Amino acid sequence: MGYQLIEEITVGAGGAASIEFTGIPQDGVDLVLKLAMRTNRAANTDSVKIQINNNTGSIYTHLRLQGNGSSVLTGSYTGTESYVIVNGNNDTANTFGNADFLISNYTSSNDKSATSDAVNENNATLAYQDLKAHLFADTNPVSSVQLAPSGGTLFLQYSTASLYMITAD
Amino acid sequence: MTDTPVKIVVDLSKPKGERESIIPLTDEEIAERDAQAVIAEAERVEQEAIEAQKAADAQAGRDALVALGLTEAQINALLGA
Amino acid sequence: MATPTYTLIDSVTLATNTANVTFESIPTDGTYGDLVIVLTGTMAVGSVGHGDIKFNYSTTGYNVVHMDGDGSTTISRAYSNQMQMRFSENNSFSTTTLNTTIIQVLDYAETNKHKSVLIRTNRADGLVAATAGRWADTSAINRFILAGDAAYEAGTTVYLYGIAKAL
Repeated sequence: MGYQLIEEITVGAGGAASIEFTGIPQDGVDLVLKLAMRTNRAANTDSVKIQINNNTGSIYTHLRLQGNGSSVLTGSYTGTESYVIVNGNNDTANTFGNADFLISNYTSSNDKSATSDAVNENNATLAYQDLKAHLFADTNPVSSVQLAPSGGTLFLQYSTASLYMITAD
Repeated sequence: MTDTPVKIVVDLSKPKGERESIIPLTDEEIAERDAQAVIAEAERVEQEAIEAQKAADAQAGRDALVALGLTEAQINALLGA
Repeated sequence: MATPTYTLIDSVTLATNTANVTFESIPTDGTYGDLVIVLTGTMAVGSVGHGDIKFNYSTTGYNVVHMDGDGSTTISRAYSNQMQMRFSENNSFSTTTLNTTIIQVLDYAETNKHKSVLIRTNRADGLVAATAGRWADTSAINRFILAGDAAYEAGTTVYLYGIAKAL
C-alpha cells in the first residue's frame, strides 16, 4: 500500500555487468528506481544506462540540467538508452553516486514520461548534480527495466538498485 | 462557439467515489486567471530587463578596467571570474 | 505488515480539458506531515504555457527561486510575493509532449511556519527545472489549485499523496 518496495539488489563481490528487473507487477501507479552505484570506470563519474521492456530502439529522449561545481550545463539527447549519473572508480573511495528515477503512469498505453535527480558523490570541486526530464516513446506498460554501466563494464560491490511501486491502495 | 472552461473540485471530506465535481468557471474566475497571467508575464519581462542592464553594466565596467590598462587575467582575478 | 506511510489520498484523470484542478478538505489533523502531488499531462496551449499552484484561497505571498535548462540555455531567477507559484521560469507544459511535475509541500498542516515547497517539472522536449518555493503564510493548507496559462488536456492525471510522520 502506498510506496512499496518490489525488490532490492545489492551487488556482491566480483561486481555485476548488468541488473534487470522483470515481471514488474502491473497494479501500481508510478515506478521509482533508487540507485546507489559505483562502476569500475577509471574516471570521475560514470552513468547508468537505463532501458525499459528490453526496448533497444532510439526511443529514449532526455533534457538535462547539470552542475559540476564550476559551471551549469544544459543539453538534450535522443538515443537507444537513457542515462543517470553515478560514481566512477576515480571518485572518492567508498562513495557511491545516488539517483532517483520516477516513471509516471508506468502501466498506461501512452509514451512514458519520467524524471530523474542524480548526484555524483566526490570529495572534490568536481562533482555532478544532474536533473533530467525523460520521455520513452514506448506505449507498452513497463514490465521490465534493464540497467548497465555506460563507461565501465561492472557495477562494483555494494552498489544497490531498489525498485519501488507507488500504488493507489 | 467557445466552450465554457471548467474546473474539477475534489472534496476529500466526501466518501471516495463521490468527491469529484466538474464546474464551469464563472466570468470572474476567467477574468482573474487572465489577469494573473498578464501580471506574471510583466514581472518576468521586468526581471529580464534588470538582468540585461546588469550584464551591460558589468561589461561596461570590464571595458573601463581594460581601458585603464589591466589585463584580462588581472580583471578576472579581481572579479573572481 | 509494515504501517504504510506514503499513502495515495486521491487522484483525478481528466475526462475533458479542464482549466484548473482543486483538491479541498485536505486533512490537517496530523494524519500526514507532507504532501506530494504528481501531475502528468499536457496543456491546451497554442505552443507552450506555464503551470502553477496556489494554496487555500490565497493569491499572495508566493516566493520562488527557479533553475531551468532547455537543452541550450540555463537560467535561474527569483521572484517574491507572486500571485501564484509557477512550476518554472520557462514554460512547463505543451500540447504535444507529456510533462511530469512533482510538487512536495513540507509540513503543510503546521501553523507555526511558512510553507516550503520543492517542485521538479520536466518536459523532455523543452524543459528540465527545479524550483524552491515558500508560501509566506502560517495557515495550514487544506486546499490547493493547479492551474496555468490554459486548460490541462483530457488524459492529464493528478495524484495526491500524504506522507505520515508517525507510525
